[in-house]
Amino acid sequence: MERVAVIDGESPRCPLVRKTYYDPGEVNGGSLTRLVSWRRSLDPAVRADLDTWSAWPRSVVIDGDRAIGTLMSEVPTAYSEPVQLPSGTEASVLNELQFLMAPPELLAKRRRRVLALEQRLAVLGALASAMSFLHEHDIAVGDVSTKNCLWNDADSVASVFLVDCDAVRLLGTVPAVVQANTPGWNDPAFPGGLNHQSDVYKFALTVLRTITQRFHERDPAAASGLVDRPIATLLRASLTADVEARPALRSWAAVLGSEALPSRS
Amino acid sequence: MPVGEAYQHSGADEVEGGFVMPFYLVCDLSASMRQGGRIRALQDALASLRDAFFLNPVVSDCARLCVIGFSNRARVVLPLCDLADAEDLPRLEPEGLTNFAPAFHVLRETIQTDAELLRADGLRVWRPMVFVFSDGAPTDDPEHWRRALESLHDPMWPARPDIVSFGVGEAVHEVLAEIATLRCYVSPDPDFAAGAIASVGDLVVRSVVASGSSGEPVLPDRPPEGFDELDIL
Repeated sequence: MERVAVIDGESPRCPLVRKTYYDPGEVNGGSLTRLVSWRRSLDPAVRADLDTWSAWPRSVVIDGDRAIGTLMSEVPTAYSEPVQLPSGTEASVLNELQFLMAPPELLAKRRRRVLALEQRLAVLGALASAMSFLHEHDIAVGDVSTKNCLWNDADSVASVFLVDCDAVRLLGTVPAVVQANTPGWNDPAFPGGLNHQSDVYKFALTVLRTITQRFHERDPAAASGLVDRPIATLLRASLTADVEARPALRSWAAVLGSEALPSRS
Repeated sequence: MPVGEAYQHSGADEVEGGFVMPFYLVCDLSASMRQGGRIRALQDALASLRDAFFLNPVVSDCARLCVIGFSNRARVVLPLCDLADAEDLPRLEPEGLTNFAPAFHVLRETIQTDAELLRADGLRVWRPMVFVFSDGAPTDDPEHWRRALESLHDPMWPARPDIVSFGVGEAVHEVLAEIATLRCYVSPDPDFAAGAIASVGDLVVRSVVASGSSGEPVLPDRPPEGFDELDIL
């Protein structure tokens, strides 16, 4: 029998879902517990804010002495849309980044709204703020791709919600689960480990692909003429092989016009 | 969860412009597929695949799927396309024998023709990934289908596909292992054939979605539910 250990000892304010790992041998229970503990260590207001933009692991599910899963908050309904599939089935579809960066003709076929460039950049600003906050707490996101960030821009207020947060890594520790490195999003400078610098590279790929509306673009020159110089400059600097020259995500948050989240002080 | 195992093909031409990842689903449509809801499971799997394309513009952007059916003969029942664009899915009608040679001939010709067309459109073309499934033993001359299979496996053919094979129902496992170049999965329980076909469909969906999201062909590393993995001969 399984039992659920609620490590942070607080009652959840939103519905929680349980993620059970296919192979518990692939989970590092210590690292997973550290992620749960890190959230608990935050100032209550900051923690409440984190919960609005991430499905952060709340508790570790254990069986005997092994971690086999985690509890995390359910994705808020604002980050999904009802869709009728070609088969006739009604489904709720998560607002993944692919619906922000897709070419307009593919969105039109799906009766999805195409956001103006300014609106798309506002969503990326929210993502930059979220990632910047994690960086300033010594956390590397790892697998930034079309699937791991949800977005919403209802009433012209851009926001994001990060999922699969059990795969982030506290710097200086091993990740709780293997950090996926989606091939089309790989940073050539870091074929193995994932860190702050590879996060910056992948964030810049997200920006480039969202600006150009091309899923697989890697050349920063493709954005020239589409955005102002500060963004073009940051793109080039973030996608360079010279990893030391890559800017901090806080620079991205500033240029994209989003308010910075509280940093560790 | 990303569970994929990525492998890099070397067949994508260095041409400016977009790229295409072709997938081929080669389906046994012999008379035995009439049993136990098998054909219905296959038809449902096709519908799920179309939903997956629709749900994922990132897949529509670069993945294309073609369906080939075989029995006495073989034919393309759905030409290579963005499945989200397919208004009507083909109605699959089982009949006749399980002749493998025509299936391999039609597959080779179709892959070659499709690759030439796509390249003429200025697209880079990945080497295809082929999913072959059968629920029975080959009914044609082993020499014939082995010769046709050799031409599919030909290492000198630039468009040679990576092949994943699935054996369900009364399939001969050794034959499926001979066809595969990447993985061979067999379902040991003949009474589970319809469920096994649904599992095949699920694996194809996961592979296509992971490939589209990654920009490279990806095959999930776990067998489909109810299947065992066989060593490839």
